[in-house]
Amino acid sequence: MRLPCKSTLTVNLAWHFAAYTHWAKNILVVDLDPQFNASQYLLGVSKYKTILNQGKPTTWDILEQNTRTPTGLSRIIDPHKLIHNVVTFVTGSKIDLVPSRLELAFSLKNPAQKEKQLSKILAKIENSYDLILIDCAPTESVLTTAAYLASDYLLVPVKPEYLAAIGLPLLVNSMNDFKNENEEHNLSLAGVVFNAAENYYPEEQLSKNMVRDLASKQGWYVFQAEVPYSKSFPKGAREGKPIINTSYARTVQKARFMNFAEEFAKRISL
Amino acid sequence: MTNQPEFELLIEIAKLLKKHSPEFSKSLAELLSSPKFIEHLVSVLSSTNTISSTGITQQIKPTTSNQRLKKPRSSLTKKAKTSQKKESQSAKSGLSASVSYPLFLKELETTDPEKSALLIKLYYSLINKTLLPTLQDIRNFASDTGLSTIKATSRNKAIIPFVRDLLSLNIEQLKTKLDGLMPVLPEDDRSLEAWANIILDKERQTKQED
Repeated sequence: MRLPCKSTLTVNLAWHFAAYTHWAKNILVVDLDPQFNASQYLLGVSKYKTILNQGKPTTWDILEQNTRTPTGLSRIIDPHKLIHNVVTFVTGSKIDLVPSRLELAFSLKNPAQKEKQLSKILAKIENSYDLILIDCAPTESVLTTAAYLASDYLLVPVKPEYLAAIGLPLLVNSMNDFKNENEEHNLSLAGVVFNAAENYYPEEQLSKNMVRDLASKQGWYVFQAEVPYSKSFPKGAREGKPIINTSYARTVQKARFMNFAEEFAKRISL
Repeated sequence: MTNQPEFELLIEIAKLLKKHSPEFSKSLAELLSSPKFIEHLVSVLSSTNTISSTGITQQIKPTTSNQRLKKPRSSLTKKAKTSQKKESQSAKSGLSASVSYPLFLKELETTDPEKSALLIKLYYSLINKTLLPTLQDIRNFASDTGLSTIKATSRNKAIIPFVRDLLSLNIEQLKTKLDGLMPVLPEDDRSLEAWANIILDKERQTKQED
């Protein structure tokens, strides 16, 4: 099962489903964002630097594998060489990563014929994983198209703020356009989740109501559970830990994230 | 062969010896080139069946060689001694993980292989400090999951009673107890400066300028 979502959310979902023994899933995180936040979160500087220095393939190589350069012919990527193990748990479950790099942004300048590369390569390795999470920026580009083509579900995190909420119909519109152009591809909207929710009244409540109204009219699922705003998320990224293991993270915030992860799993029948 | 943990351990020991006593490491190197000495060393090593996680230091008798080792150690600063202690502890952990695990886990292999495999993995993760890296972590975990209170005064001593305590649980209960137990990833530089160097590609630019 594959689906795209945001960096912090992606990494924390990966940890949740791999670490808890009632899940103990094998998770692959695909970083499809040129800003490579998921790679930064999961690897840290030295591991990431080693990947770059050793010229190991990244998501950039997936998209550019058929591009000829003056230095030589195109190179076909061995999918197994893309994968970097981040952590393996006592139960044998694991988190693997296909990292990204800044140069992925250059693929946006010359996007022709690149969108299918990701789904082709993931098809070769998907049997090794229970869940593949693709982290990609929301702005419509060859990267979102590549992510849609490689996914079964789309998770849409929305910050409950006025302008962010307006971004929601834009994103769903982009998904619908994609579905019209690719009728044979079965991509579903897993749902909309309120991300970084602080329960700030009344502004946040107004934005949430706006999203709920729109979702109800359009038949989109809105998750009951919300991903709370918590300083433990950025702190976790700094420490290289998920919120469930971040030092001094409040139990209530961990529980709220867990509730979302469990609802999410039900929603996509994990 | 170079990937074997025993080989890595020997290299680590050699590095420690060289660091702490360059003179001694030279004479040891000469000694190791003697086939007779190697033969003797092999016979000593093969006569030792098991090495317990806590019994390594007790097995080393004071000989002329390790008495000579003491001299440079006494001249070290307090900070260096602490780091030396940490290194020797990690070397001990590595040795235990590569050599053996407790007898009760070995016996469990025949009666309940699944539970045994899980507990052995847990045991090694504890020895290597990739799980519950401090004594307080072990105590907190035991208390949070309703296991008996850990009375041991050091982390090394706490590991075996802690794992033995988990023995009484069935596989499902064990999995539940271990739920959410996070491995400690090796600490890494996560500073903004380090990421900025990668993003701005400072090193490559410097090379070009050279």
